[in-house]
Amino acid sequence: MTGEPFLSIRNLTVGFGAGGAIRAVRDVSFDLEAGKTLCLVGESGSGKSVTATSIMGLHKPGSAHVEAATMRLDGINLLECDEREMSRLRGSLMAMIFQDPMSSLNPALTIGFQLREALLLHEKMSTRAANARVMEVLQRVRIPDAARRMSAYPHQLSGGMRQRIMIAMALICRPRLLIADEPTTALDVTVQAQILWLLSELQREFGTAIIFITHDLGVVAEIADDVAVMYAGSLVERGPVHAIFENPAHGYTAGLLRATAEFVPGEPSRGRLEEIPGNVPSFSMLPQGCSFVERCRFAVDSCHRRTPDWRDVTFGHASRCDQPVAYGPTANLTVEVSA
Amino acid sequence: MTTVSSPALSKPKPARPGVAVSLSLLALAVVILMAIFGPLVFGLGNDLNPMMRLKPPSAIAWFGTDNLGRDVFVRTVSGARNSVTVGLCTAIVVLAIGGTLGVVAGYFNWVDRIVMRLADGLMAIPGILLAIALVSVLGGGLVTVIIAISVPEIPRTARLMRSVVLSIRELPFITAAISVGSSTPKILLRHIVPNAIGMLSVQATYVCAAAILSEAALSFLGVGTPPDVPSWGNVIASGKEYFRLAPWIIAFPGLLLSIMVLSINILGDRLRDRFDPRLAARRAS
Amino acid sequence: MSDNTDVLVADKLVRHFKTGKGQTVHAVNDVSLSIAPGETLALVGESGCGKSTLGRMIMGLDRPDSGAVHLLGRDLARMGNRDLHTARRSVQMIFQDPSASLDPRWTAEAIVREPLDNFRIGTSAERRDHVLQLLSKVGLRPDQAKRYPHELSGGQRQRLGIARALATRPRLVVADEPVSALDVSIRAQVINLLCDLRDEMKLSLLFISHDIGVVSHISNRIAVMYLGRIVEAGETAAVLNAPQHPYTVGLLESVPRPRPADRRQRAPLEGDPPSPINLPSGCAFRTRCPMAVDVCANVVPPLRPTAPGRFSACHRADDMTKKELLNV
Repeated sequence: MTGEPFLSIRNLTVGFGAGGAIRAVRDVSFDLEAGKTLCLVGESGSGKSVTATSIMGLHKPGSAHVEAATMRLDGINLLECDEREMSRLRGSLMAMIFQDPMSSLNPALTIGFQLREALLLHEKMSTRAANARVMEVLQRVRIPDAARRMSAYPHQLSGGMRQRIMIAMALICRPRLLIADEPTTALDVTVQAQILWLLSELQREFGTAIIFITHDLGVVAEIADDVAVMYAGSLVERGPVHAIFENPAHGYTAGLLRATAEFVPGEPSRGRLEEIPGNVPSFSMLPQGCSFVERCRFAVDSCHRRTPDWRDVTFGHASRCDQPVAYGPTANLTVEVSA
Repeated sequence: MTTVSSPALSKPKPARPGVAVSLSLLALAVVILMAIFGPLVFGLGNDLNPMMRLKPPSAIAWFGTDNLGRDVFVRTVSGARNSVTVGLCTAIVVLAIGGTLGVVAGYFNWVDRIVMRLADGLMAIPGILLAIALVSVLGGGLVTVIIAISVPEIPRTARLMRSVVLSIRELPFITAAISVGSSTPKILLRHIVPNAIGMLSVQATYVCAAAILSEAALSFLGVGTPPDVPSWGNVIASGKEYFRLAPWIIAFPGLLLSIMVLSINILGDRLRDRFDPRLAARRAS
Repeated sequence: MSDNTDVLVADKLVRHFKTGKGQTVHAVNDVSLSIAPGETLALVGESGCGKSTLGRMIMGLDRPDSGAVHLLGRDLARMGNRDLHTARRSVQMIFQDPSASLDPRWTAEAIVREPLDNFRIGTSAERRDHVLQLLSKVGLRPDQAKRYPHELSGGQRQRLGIARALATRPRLVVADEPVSALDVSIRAQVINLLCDLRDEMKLSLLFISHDIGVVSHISNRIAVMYLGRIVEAGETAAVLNAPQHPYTVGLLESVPRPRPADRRQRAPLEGDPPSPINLPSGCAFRTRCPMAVDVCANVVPPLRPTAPGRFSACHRADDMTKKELLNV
């Protein structure tokens, strides 16, 4: 690794409520290289979306207490940016797409108009040139019949089309970082596959770095270069996608992989699924020590006493677990269980 | 199970009622006490006293006197009974009839068509005109006033309940109730009505406030309660010609009327917040 | 594909809806299926394919325009309301969203007790015991009986929904996406619970889902739906390993697998499903099908047997063994 990473987050903590007492994100650190995809994995309430909105600076003023040692994007210290600078960066340097495209599109305006406005907000050009750019980007996200779609309203499009429009809107100013918050969760699998395919195509073409937020391990395996696993507000494991899937080093990651019912052609179905017992803890009821300790099959005494420190498993793969070798590889899991 | 919870992270305290709500409750309590005990303690304030006509507020007559020399304070305090009675009775009548119609119309499509067309027709007539017409046909009196005010309010409440029921009806727990074999009356009474009751009680406060105002308006126009029984409306009405000379005749009952209606509306808004399922979910989490 | 011992036989079900604008939504077109005792049939397809409408008809919550739903040999579609009430005892439902399918003003105990009261099962005291038994069966503690749904976690709410569905000891349970609204770390618990209870109570299960992973785990047979029709059906492993309809192939290709090593290398199935209002002529899938030929535009392919226990509604089902055709 040479020089500074494209995006660098150190010790990000985000609190809500009076005095930031409800800490939705605690001490999160990760890096992202330019042009790579980082998947932020976690369940509802794990803090993955809050992490993303903190990078984008999208919290309502006064609602969240964001603290971090470092938050640098492309050499810019985001912690020092005021609201005006942030809003200039949003759209031009970084952009975000959401699970529900309808909530980010104005139902009363045409697609073409909204895309053009997004473009003109950041770049000075004639309406004609802007329209040409909009056409180009619509074709780029594979909207069939793009010229006609420009005068369509959001409700006239299918969910998949709307998400393509959102991607077009996010990419129209060629941002270098795209944050995608569960963009395919509301879509059907065949449409999800199209959107994932489109994102990776666009990434290859424009060299955009992507933070992809999801709870779906299948999607992670499909698109991630690196993975960061979040649980109850903290990062518990991070590393390259192959390492995470083949050699998970945290009880939560391993538990999730074993608990997921998957279909692999040619292989028999796994027997009984391995359950993760218990429920996701709420922020006000976090256990002492490792936050996963009460649900972890491999927990030992020390897990109850203190929050484990980061440990390197292999190069670039680290886990916040005192028992990182206990889980073993998952690659042959299916065969083991069915044998 | 060991859990750490700092004081700030422990259970959220039940939200304290705001100042506005406390004041509203206080105002309402005072008015209700006035309605119950006012006439008993002070009488109806019908004693004419030509020597005391149009006197400003003083130690003898706190709110001054009117053109017939009657004590405005006594009439205002005793008038609360009429106003409160009209408000409460109208709310009960409107909720009973309008609420039932709305619930039934919301659940059964065929009833819906009939009830809603009738409601549309009724709503097209200006409420106060309808009330005047009813009073002139049926003659004055408290019961007539209540009927006259209720009729135009019923379709509004029916419409509201219908829309509430329509949205509840589509929720999966109603489908679930059907599929576990619950009968239609059971679904209506045990699932739909309890979940709609919040909105209904909010509507009750609005109807109550509106009825008190309507009664005042009717009395002001001279078709409300008989003049020998004081109500805020006819006290204000009796002062309208002397407004320049003796503004206190209108000012004090008018002030009380405003405070009462405002208080009821504040409590209604508060109730609505309480029963809003989204807010309830936020409190629960 | 039916015989008299089947718990459920749906025969040529058709259900169309009229929209406000006078258009017709072809929700379910000529669907037949059967479920044997103790068998789990998975109904797979994307949103708008008619799987939930089909589920509602099988529950007797909606009546088909034509066709029959034989539950334990009696036709729900032609029953009067009283008979339908009686029949409901044998078919129960588990809903997708556990929060929305539980009345927020009822306690857990009251929710599970509701079906017992409705069908007058046992005396009042027996019902109380039965409720506690059911709660413990789905892994809820007795002290949770007095709780309201919002005081339970998502997984616990779905357990409650399962307890309610099993209260009447039904023969058939329709589970409509029962785990897709749950957190991933909770899903395995609920799937295992459902499997255990199914085996213990010898339930037949109609499992409606879009999640191929879960379906492959839980079902014996699978029926794939596309725009209101079953396009392929057969034993789960056989269908998933050697699909005989190009839509099934596309669907399986689209499912992301938690294996970074076998990342998809090909562009996925293109296009959106057409609207169920204006169905394409012939085969409804032909607009997205990489194998479509002329006949597909003219003739609706019937669901026909292709091998013992296997059915496909593709004119070119026999060509499907030649896999290279699909790599267009």
